[in-house]
Amino acid sequence: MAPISINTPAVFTGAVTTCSKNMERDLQQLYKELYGKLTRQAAFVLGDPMAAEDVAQEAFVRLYRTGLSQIDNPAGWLTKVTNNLCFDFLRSEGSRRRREEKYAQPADLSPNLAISSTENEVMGKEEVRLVQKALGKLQPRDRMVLVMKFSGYSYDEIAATVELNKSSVGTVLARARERFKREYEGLV
Amino acid sequence: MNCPNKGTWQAYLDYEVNENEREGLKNHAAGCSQCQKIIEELQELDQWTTQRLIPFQQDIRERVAVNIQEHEITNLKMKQQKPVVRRDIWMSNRIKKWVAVAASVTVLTGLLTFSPVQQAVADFLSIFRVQKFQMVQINSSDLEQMARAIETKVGEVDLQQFGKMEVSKKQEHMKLPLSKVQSQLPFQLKQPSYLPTGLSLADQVSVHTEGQAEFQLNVKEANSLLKGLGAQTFLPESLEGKDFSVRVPAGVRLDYVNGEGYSFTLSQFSSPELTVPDGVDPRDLRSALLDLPILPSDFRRQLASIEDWQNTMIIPDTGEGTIEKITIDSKEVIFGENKNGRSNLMWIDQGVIYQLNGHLQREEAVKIVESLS
Repeated sequence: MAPISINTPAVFTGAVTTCSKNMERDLQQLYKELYGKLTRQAAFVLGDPMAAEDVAQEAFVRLYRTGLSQIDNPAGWLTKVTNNLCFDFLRSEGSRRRREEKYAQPADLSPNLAISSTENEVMGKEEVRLVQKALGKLQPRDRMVLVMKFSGYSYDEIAATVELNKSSVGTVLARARERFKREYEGLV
Repeated sequence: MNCPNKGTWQAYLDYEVNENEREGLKNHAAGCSQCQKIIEELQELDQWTTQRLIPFQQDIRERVAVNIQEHEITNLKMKQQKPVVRRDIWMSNRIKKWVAVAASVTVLTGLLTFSPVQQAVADFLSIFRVQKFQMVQINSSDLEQMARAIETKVGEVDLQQFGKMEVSKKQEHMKLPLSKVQSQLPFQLKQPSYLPTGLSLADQVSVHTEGQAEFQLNVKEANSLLKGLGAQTFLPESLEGKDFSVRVPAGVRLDYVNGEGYSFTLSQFSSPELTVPDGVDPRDLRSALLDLPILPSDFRRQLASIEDWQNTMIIPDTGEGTIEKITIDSKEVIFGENKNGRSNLMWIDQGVIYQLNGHLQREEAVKIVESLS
């Protein structure tokens, strides 16, 4: 039987009336082109594909509300907003709690997970899991800086997202990497 | 010059210092073994981090790819999904989810609404069998309205609280050579005589065996939900504890590939059946669902106007992708196309549901369908 899971409402509220047909078409186009990309980007930052979809959706909702005519470079704008939303998300209390819950998975109950009966095939995934877990232990700002740098963002862009002086990005980045390595090695 | 700090060296390595600074730092490093050591450490750390993040990024990308697959025409899969119920501020925007909910509601309307089909069997059973498709239009603002209505009136809903599902016959999936497939199927397998250049049938064919599941409705819970939604029509007590049975007959999937992995698939399966025991009038269910005040009136009218509702599968058209009804060889075919040029065709021929799916031009897809025999 088809299960229905029902959550809180979708959000294109109010804005609908103020939006012309043309804009709707342009938005559709942008959505088609960029939704996947933004979701992947957000998923990488957040380590959570579900949350990433929410974030990408929210970015589009904001674009919708702001109005396309107000924005010179919608793609760039969406990218920026997505990054900001990711950072907000990482900082939000609920997300931290959920991340922690997520890591309290059965595997964690066995202390010798590295030497347990993991086959080679599983080992690949195991590393991914450890990375996810180590990232989860970082402070939101450290995590954001670390992942954004890896994704190819400039210090300017990173600084703007995490509300930092550009001159501090190098210091924060180096420290974030050190912490990440320490957390990771603590898990192995 | 005093030794620059680590952060400065990091910025230096990342080419995030200006030309003048860069020159000065370079000169300093040349004569300072301590700073050289720091630079090396930072480079190693960068490398180490990169090596860890690459597989992680890869993995996440794959997971997302699975997650955001285009909303495609799906067949009635007998799958007990675990409903995901999450609630936080981030849940508010899941428009796509609402497409799925609308689909579930509509399919439920279709699924739970059936009447005796064959007089002979009708004495004991009501049988639902997909014999045709109907597209219904629903746009995102309608969806949004329904969503808001549900949110304000009942909050979260988890279908599992409305009944029990039990798989009585598990579907088995297997790979067989083509020659062994026909004996597994309750219908005559069809193959296209036309194929786009370079494509051929893969060595192995995927077959799934028949599966069956029973569903028992918790009438009280269901009615209290309906009440919360403002319904006037409720489900009869007589439904309590009765087994609704879903049977998915055996089916087959043919994969067509070329050297580069380019492919399309052709699935064939007999229509799934939903059976209700004697004493249950499926029209009761239909009225209860159709009378729900939260259904946008246009949407309700479309649903209500489906005449052969017991045998119609409803396909919601949200206007977000291309989806239309076309005619090939006097068969009505639902044709959908997504942004990646992936076509999805679905039609019914003599009780068998066919699905053609892949990176095909529309003309190619039509040719393939025409050449089936």
